[in-house]
Amino acid sequence: MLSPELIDTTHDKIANVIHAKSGIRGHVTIAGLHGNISIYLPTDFPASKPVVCLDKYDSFGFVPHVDMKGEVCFCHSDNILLDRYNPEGIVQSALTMAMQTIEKGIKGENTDDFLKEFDHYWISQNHIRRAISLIDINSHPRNIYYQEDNGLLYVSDSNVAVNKAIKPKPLLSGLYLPLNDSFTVSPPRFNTSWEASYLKTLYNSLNHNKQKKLRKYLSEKAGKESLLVFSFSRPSEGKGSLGIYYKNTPVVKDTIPSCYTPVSLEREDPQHLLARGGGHKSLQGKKVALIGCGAVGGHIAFELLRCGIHQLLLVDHDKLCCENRYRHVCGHASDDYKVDVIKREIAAKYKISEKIIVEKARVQDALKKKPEIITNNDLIIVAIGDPTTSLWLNEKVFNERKKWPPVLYTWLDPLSIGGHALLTNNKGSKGCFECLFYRGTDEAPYNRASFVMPNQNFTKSLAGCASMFIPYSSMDALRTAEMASRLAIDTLLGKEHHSPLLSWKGDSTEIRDNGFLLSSRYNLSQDALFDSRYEYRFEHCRICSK
Amino acid sequence: MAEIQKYFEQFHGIIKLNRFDENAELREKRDIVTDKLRAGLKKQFEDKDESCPKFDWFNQGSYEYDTGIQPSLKGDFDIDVGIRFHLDKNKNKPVEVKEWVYEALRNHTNKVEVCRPCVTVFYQKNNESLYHVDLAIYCQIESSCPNYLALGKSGSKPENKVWEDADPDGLKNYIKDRFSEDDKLQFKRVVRYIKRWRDVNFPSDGQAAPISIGLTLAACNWGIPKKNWEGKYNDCEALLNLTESMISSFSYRYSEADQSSANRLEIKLPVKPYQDVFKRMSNKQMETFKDKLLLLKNALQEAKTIADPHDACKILKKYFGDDFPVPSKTQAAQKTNSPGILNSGDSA
Repeated sequence: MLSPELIDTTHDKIANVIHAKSGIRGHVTIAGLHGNISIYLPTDFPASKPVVCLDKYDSFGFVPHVDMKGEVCFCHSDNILLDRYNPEGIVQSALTMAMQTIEKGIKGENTDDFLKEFDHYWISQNHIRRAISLIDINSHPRNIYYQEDNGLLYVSDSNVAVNKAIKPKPLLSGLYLPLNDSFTVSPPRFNTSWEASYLKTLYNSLNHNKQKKLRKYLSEKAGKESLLVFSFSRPSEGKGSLGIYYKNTPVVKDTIPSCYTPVSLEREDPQHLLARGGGHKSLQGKKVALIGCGAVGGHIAFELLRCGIHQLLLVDHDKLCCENRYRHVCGHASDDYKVDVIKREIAAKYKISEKIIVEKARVQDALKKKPEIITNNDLIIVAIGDPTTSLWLNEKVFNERKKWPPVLYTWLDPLSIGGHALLTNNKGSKGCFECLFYRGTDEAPYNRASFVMPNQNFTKSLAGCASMFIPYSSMDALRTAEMASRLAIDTLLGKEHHSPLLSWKGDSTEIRDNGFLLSSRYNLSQDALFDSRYEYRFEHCRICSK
Repeated sequence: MAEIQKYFEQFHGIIKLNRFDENAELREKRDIVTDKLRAGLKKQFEDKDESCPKFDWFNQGSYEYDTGIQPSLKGDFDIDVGIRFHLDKNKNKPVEVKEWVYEALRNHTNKVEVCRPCVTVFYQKNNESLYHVDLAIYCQIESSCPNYLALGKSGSKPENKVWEDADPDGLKNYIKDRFSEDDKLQFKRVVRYIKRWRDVNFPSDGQAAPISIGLTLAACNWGIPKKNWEGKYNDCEALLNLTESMISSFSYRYSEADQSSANRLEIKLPVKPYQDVFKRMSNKQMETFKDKLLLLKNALQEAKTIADPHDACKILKKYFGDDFPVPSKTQAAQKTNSPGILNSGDSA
């Protein structure tokens, strides 16, 4: 840096915006181009990185990673460690990294980064409008729908009102057009819009079919408002999207009209958000029946949803009561059916309630009434914690096993000692819920997966028979639900080929302090439990080995 | 898999030689023998007007390792005792020292014999052996010095009358420390099963039967503790695993006894003199040993796949003898005595 001078931070515009306590400005030459560069130290430096700025964003040409006010984005704050004992080193590194970023831009080595930051440039245009987008950004050109509320646009693939709260507003049709993957879209420079010539280039890049759709749509909308949504490919970053809105669609030929209002699309479509949450797109078509929506089942419903399973059948005849408040994922606000409460919460938080079916019945009754709504799923999860009903259901499944999808049972042991998930009827493999209880001996049946010795009474009562419960905490339910949900996902993705019994084991202090006895299975290590996950199968089981 | 662990454990209860029950009589005999030895030696050396050599004694063998079994019909009880003289091996010949012991004890019972590795005192009733005490004779100049075992007897070839390197304490520690806690209990059960199998399937005289220390060391080498998915010990699986490992460890080796090579199982002592404990078995005997192990393996494999414990135990009885219990045929109706309503700790 040549001719460095201290910045008068009290009178410097940027220093005031970022609350810099000091700064230095000097002259640099990058890839043969000359210009000034400023380094500001924020008040909490060296706990925060220095801010490096150019005099103007295009002092060294229009290059990526320089924002409107000239700040160079040389690294992401999340991915670095600042050595606070080496403040000089931090400043030196910041300057070097910023200059390298600009140099790459000058040499055209990071042009693709324009696409990564497309939104940044797009929203800098004048009169930008905001939109919430629920449309699937895929490769199919099609009609879409939008609605306006308080200046905000809601864009959707569905012609059902995008936001039910704004029903009075008309639902209008828009057009979604994916740009060809081979076309590299250039963002407009800060504060400018695309010129007519660039819009013509954009139009020309479309194939014949898409041009035809565009022409047809615009001519239909002539004189009326219209919305175009374009998507484009971003190297290694998935698809990007942009919106173009016309208040009064002009009549033009073979181009995209230049008098547009830019629209910034805030993507809330599940595909986009799921990818951010680690969900699986391939799970979206899957259907799961969840029998039992208590402490474990409630958590499972939401976990499956967050993984991308949006078609759920919830079966439970129980209502939430105040005793559920600290054990159930939904807490307790009113004495409603658990299935209704869960559905309401899904609707409020995930906007996908239309595919959530509820059945306020015991599984026995639901099966009698309409067996196919239960069997016609990709997976059934049984989280009722009642071994008698689970054994009954298990027998039913294996009597006609080809009619049934895989069935996953999950339950909790008492007093935080553990939880279990057993997958059955998966890909024709043997091993079932009965195998855990009946093993051809003359012993009375008991759940051999359990971490406690059989025939101990763990139920507690706070107020007589009606409020009997088995003690466990919400965290135990959550941990069990997490394990069961992972197994469910692995099953639906085809990763699990057999019928494992998975268990987690917790601390035994409470069990011992209360004078209860642990089973021999509890003494197996977590590794041994996992390694023996298929061994519970009883070869002579009268249910699964028939 | 049939639930047969219960019957293995019952079998173990029957064959196990308890250190403090059945062995009480043996212990008493052992103490009498060592007292007699001390008195006899004192007299012998007083008569010769020489100073009496000092010795200490210690338990060894299955009594010490707690792997003893009740003798089957063919055998008698025994107890192994180590007699360690505090003397210099270069100044005393091994057979000479064994003769001292023989002299001191020969009038104690009707039958006392000097054998190649020990001196044996038999206790008999109506000319039938009830039990015997095997005295292995060692020498050690002083504690912390090496031990040597006296081999040979009068009439042996000079090369067989030797002080052989030995480490009885090292061997004892190796076996006792090999497994711990409940795994050790399974190890002991497995050793007892295979020793009983040996007693039932091999003649008791000569070298045909694999010796106990060999079977014990085999279980040390390959007896990985086996539990089922419920965390309960599975002795059938452990025994099967041991049998399979022994079979797969047979390899083509030279036998000094036969002066020729054959398929043999070699199990070396983990301490001095590190020799093959089965070296005295002939190639022919080794062949039989392997054949019988194969039959045992097949029986164990079959037993574990049979549904009814009655059928499974019937097969095992053929190999482990009449002490192996066989339950009656499983009948569903048997459950009538158990309650129909049970507690469950499951919830969701």
